[in-house]
Amino acid sequence: MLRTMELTRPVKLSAAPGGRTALSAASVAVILLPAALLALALTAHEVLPNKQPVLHSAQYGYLLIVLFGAYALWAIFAFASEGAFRRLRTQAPITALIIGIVGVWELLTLKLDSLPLPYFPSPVKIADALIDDREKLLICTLYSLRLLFLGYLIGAFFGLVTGLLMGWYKQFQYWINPFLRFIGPIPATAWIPVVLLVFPSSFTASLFLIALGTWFPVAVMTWSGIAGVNKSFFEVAKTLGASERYLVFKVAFPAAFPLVFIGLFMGLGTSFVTLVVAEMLGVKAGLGFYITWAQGWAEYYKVYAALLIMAVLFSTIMTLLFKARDRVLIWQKGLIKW
Amino acid sequence: MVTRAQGGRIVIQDVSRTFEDRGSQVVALGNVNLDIEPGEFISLIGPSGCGKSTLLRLVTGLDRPSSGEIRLDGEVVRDSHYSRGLVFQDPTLFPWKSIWGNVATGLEARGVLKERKGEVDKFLELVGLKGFERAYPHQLSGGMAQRAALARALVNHPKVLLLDEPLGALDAFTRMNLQDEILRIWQERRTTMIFVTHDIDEAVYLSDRVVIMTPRPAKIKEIVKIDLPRPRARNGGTFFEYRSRILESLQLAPEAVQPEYIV
Ligand SMILES: Nc1ncnc2c1ncn2[C@@H]1O[C@H](COP(=O)(O)OP(=O)(O)OP(=O)(O)O)[C@@H](O)[C@H]1O
Ligand SMILES: [Mg+2]
Repeated sequence: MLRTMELTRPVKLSAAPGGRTALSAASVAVILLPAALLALALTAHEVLPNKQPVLHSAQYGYLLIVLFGAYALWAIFAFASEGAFRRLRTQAPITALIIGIVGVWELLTLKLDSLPLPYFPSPVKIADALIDDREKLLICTLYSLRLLFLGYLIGAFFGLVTGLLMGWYKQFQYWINPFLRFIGPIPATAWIPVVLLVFPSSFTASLFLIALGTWFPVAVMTWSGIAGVNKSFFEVAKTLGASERYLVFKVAFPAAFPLVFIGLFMGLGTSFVTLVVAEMLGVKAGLGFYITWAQGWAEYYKVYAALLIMAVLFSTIMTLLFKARDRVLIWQKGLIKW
Repeated sequence: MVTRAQGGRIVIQDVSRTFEDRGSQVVALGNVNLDIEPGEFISLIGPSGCGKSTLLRLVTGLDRPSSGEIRLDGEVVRDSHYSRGLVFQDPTLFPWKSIWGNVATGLEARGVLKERKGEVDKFLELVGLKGFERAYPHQLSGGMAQRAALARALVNHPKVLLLDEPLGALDAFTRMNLQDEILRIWQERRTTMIFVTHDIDEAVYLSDRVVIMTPRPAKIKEIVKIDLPRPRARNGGTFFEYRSRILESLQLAPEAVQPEYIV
């Protein structure tokens, strides 16, 4: 066990006389690096004078202290188990880089005032927006989430149904294919002028757009997935007494799922785009709306705050989708990890 | 332990099957007649392309004859039915199902899985895959996959089990093991077996009768009844006599194995 680890990992662990594992100086140094950088950033933050106006400089300091404490806790836990230690050892360099970037960014902005305002605010200024505008941001986030989820679920549902019918029934494919081909490739956002006219509210209009944008990739991938299922699977199932219903839902659909998932993934990406654009152009709520509104007042630090929330939100949703896939597709070898 | 199959008499009457291929007609099977007793073990042997797989597909009902008919216990075969199991040359396990799930497919498809969960375990044990229930097909060796496919076909208690070169891709050792397993299952269940093979020894070792087929025209050339007591020795004198008789019969067959084209 230890030997294979030494072969595959740069971590050097050797059995100490007491039977416990001792660590090489190099890996200890790597693990200490993020902590050292956090301490450095904290010192710079507290000692150097601010050259730009910010409201929550003290709170930003607390945040750095909390982060330092969290990292220390992680490190302590890591020394208790080998797996956690290896994780920490691999994650430490990238963590250090991120801390370094944020630290340099604060130096260039808040401490040296060398980047033009208001376009390049300091991280502390962005924290200002997150703290002072938290209620507004929370409401906007919830509005965005509601629109995104409803739109995506509706689009994915219709995409699955369309793809399934097209893959299974020649007739259906004949009638739907031309529409899918002509309407599908148009970016959903291009419909905005028309759709805002036709629908009773900007909410329903955006819902429709997100659903449309999701529908297309899901339908296409489900269709091609089902149409491409190895015919032997159906023959085997038939000799085992399968009904058509069983063939569709228990053979065709699971066999096509790897492609269906790619459709769901692409649809999710499109739905993010459509959501933000729709909110910027029509809807009077949500993170996209917040961004245009903040931009109107030239409050770029608020724009960045909203972008940060979006990054966290969208990447979390994406991660959840991949986690769900890993559950469904445990039978597949060599999955891409997200 | 496992209930014996009831019935399983197959009557193949004047069956032929032609395929259209860009205007010309390919005779995959021309006028085949064969009566198979319930519980009999039949081997089909013959050169590549002589219509063995085609015949099996017709007997399962995945395909229909161009003329003639096939009856199972007096009823004309029209569509696939779980009473006629087929094990393909390639195991074709469903990759998204565990081994347990694969074997359970027949019961699940017929909606009787809840009452008969025990059967799945029974057949997994029968083919020696106990302990691999939760594995996925890509984690199995070729021989294990083939055994899983066998259990999957058996779980429905078919009256007739059709095996299309199920052991073709295996090494000699695994192959002999599986031959004995198939024999054991057959003796326990008395399912009617039609076993396609390219291996003469295998045919003699397993079968009550060996059906020798020829291409051009694709039909039955000769039927050799193997009158050897079981268990059979693979190297007895009589065994070799049967072996050389089949060999002779096959060598007399025309060399060309291409299907006949009637323009
Ligand atoms: N769907 C089809 N369309 C056209 N021709 C076919 C079709 N299926 C089989 N044939 C033809 O029928 C003939 C018999 O095929 P079959 O698969 O039954 O042979 P086989 O005896 O099983 O051969 P092998 O031992 O190589 O598996 C072949 O010449 C093949 O080209
Ligand atoms: Mg064949």
